[in-house]
Amino acid sequence: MCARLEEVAVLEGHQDRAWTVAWNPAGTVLASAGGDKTIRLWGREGESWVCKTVLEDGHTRTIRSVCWSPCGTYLASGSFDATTCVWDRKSGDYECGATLEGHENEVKCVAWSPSGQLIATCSRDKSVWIWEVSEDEDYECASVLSLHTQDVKHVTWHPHKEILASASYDDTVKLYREADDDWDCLATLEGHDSTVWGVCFDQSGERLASCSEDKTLKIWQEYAPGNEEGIQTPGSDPTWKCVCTLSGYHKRTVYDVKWCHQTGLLATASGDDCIRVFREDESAPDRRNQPEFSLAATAEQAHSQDVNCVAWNPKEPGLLASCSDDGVVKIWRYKEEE
Amino acid sequence: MASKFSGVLQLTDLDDFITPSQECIKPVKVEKTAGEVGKIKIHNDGSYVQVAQTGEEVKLQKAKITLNDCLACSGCITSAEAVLITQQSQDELYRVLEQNRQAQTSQEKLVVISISPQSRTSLAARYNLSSLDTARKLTGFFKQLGAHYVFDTTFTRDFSLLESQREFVQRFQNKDTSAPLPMLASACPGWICYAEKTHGEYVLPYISTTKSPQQIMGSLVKDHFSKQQGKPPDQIYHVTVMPCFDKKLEASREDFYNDVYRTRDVDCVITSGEVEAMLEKEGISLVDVTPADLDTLFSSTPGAELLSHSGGGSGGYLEHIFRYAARELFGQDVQSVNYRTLRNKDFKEVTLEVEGKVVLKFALAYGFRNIQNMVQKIKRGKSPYQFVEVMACPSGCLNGGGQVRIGDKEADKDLLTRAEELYSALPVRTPEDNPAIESLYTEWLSGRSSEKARQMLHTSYHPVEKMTNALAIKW
Amino acid sequence: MVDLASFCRFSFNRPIFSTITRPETYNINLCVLRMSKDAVLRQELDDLSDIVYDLIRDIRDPEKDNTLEELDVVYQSGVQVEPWGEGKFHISIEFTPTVPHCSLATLIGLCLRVKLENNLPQHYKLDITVKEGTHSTGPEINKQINDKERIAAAMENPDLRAVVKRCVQDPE
Repeated sequence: MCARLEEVAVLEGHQDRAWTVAWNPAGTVLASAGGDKTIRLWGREGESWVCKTVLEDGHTRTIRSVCWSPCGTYLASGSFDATTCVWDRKSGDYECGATLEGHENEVKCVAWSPSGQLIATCSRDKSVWIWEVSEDEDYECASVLSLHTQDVKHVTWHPHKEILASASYDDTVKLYREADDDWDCLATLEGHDSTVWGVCFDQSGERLASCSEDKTLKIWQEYAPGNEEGIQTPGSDPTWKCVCTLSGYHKRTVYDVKWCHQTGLLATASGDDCIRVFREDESAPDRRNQPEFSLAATAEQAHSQDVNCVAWNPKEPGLLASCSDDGVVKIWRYKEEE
Repeated sequence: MASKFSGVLQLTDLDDFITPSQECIKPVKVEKTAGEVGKIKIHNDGSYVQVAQTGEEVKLQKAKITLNDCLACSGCITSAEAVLITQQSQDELYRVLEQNRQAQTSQEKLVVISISPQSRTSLAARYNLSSLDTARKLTGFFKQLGAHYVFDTTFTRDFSLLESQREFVQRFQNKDTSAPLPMLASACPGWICYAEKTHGEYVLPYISTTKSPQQIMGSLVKDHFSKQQGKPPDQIYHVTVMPCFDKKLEASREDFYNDVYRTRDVDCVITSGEVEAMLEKEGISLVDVTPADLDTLFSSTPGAELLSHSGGGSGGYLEHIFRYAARELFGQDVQSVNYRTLRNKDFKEVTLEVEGKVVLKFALAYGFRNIQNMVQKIKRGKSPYQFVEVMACPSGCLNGGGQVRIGDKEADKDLLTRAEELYSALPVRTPEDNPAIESLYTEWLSGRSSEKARQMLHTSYHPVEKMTNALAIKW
Repeated sequence: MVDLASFCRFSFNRPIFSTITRPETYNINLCVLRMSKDAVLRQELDDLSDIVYDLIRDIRDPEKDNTLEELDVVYQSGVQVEPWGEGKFHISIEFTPTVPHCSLATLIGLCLRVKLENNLPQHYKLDITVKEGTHSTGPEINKQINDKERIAAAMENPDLRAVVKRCVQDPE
């Protein structure tokens, strides 16, 4: 069986590098943003994809990250201007209704929790902030986690528990959960040799994938207390172990990794201009402890420069969006052929 | 090296790989003779020498960065930390004590130790002693080492509370834009440093001008006590024992430096943890130290008894101001102050209702997350409070970064609980009931509203300019 | 011989720091048709290496009034160019800070990167490193000056941007 990534759409419009793409929960709108300080919302018109709206004037510097609320009505954007904007469309058009201030400098990533009640942001100031969404749509800081020793590059939430993961320039991934009135670190995942740029959970939440400047992808497995493998756990907390390292595939930094919650496929965005899709071998003898992944498809020269971000469409299996330093946003379809 | 400062200060540090000697960008004035052209050589040991045309080598002075330089610079805090360790530590205290031993009697410095009640409590919890035993043993310990006087900063907290109360009522009545509400507590140096470095002119006018107990003790010792003893201020070495590292930054502020005598109001700050280290160095447990009588000169009571203030381990500012304001402004006698916990245990609210209307609304905001929300509300003009007791550390001063730690999370939690119990078990007294304070207002300060009282009991804050020197920007 | 000036289209008038619009790749093969394929490639790489070096040698030191070449911070042998996939290049630049604790090494790295970004039309991947053993925090500096996100953010800081602009401006 072989597979390939078929180019579905080439979306041009950004005037500078595109850093981020994010699908709305319904999978009907793709948001992209980047160095031109704008957010573009793309949608289908017949067979083609077009830019429906451009959101401007929310930020004074590069927009590094965008994320939809689980209900799909809000869009959060994190910027190098140290703020996070929450956009809503109460007036019909999208407007920046709230600005989350507090980070000392560049916000690198913003992530909305599955419940919609929490927003996590991270920054070069080495901290991860958790914001609570109150009823009157006020956003208050619920916690400031200064546990990384360097720039925090990425944050992402567990698919159904209130557990947060962060990836950092300090080469580690950290997991947090609320305990005893405040948030606290639950585990630190060490193994990468350089900056960890991205981290994501699989559909079950028991596995994590992380990608790094060290050109590898790592798969981490959660082991709960009393696990049958007999792996030691600290107190009542689970422990996480690297069960697979994918090296030799990427020629430059891996900037992003996304796990498709429908198909289980892993997509990566890399500084070698390629997009790669990895598939887990279902016939591996010990999938839990020794999973095997193989490269299923590569879009060689997917972009003319570094690929910065990939995003699986949450509703349409195999539909993948990407964006790049070349300023272009693309949509791909993963196709398997017998 | 893990930072020991409160989380607030760690957040303002943007450095990635800084060590002070290499990364510090403070410009230093170099004395240069005009017209001289020279070469500079770097020796293998890292020293720099200037080579004159005659071939003569002159070793160049190393540029020294003081803690004050660090504080005046928005560059980093890490540097300040390393500098602190050399300028304010138990080693420095040992050095002065040793000098005293070598010196002739007339040259000997008078060594005064002022211990904060939070540090005393932390050590009491650590060694399973009562507060009073701990106070007596600490007095014994420091006197054996060569200290002449051991005071308790609870005494000067009376001043701090009284002045805060009056300041609040004045702010409330005057509606002066230069001293707006909410008034924010000023006793926490971590919070002050953060406000100056990050929020500057926006937030500083809200901060109470009243000095902290440590700095009022500084004024008392280096001004009043110094005159009493007939010793110039620079001949007194004043050490405080504090629950937090940030207090070292406070003591080093230019505002608390005497230019005439070239001396600081507080010469050296050591933390509770550093006292524990001193005990370890002496090879003795506090339990086994021979106790000594408490100094009664600046003491809350003439007898052998400890007194404290109501309102929790961070000084009780909210509670004292609340009661005073209720009485002065609304003629209400508050029997008990009821705290309502809001978002988390470090964010609490107290309200006073008169005839069904809320007339006073105060809050406690401890820890960075709560400070953050409070500051953002003030910036947007949306703060519902008239006073906020701000402390950088979660759980307040008893949980300060300089307190004794065992290193195990659970054990440290137990230690904090024990400290909180010990602290709240102390009998309390309102500052108005301290007769010694009353007479000091007359004898030392020539009245409550005198210029002298303002100088000795109040201070000011200075926004730190954001760094614009690109050569120094950390990116 | 290839005439450097003829194909080295330094577009100095382009707005500084635009990172997206690059002129299309020029064609240098005209004058080297007679060589073998490998030799052509080698020649092309050597020429590009010369171009890169010509671009960076005149960058001014952020503090002193000298160029990086005059201070021996950059040197021809520090520039390596290799093919990188179809029609792209991999450029590596090694430089030597003036002193082992030079606090401006990261700024120099920033200048090198920005100068190439503004003036080199080719598609390339760039790695910049401090010569091994010449800086007390070499690995940290290397990490920072190759982090494109940090660089992008730094170039949005008006103060840093002004300094870098001054350093990479072409000599009058």
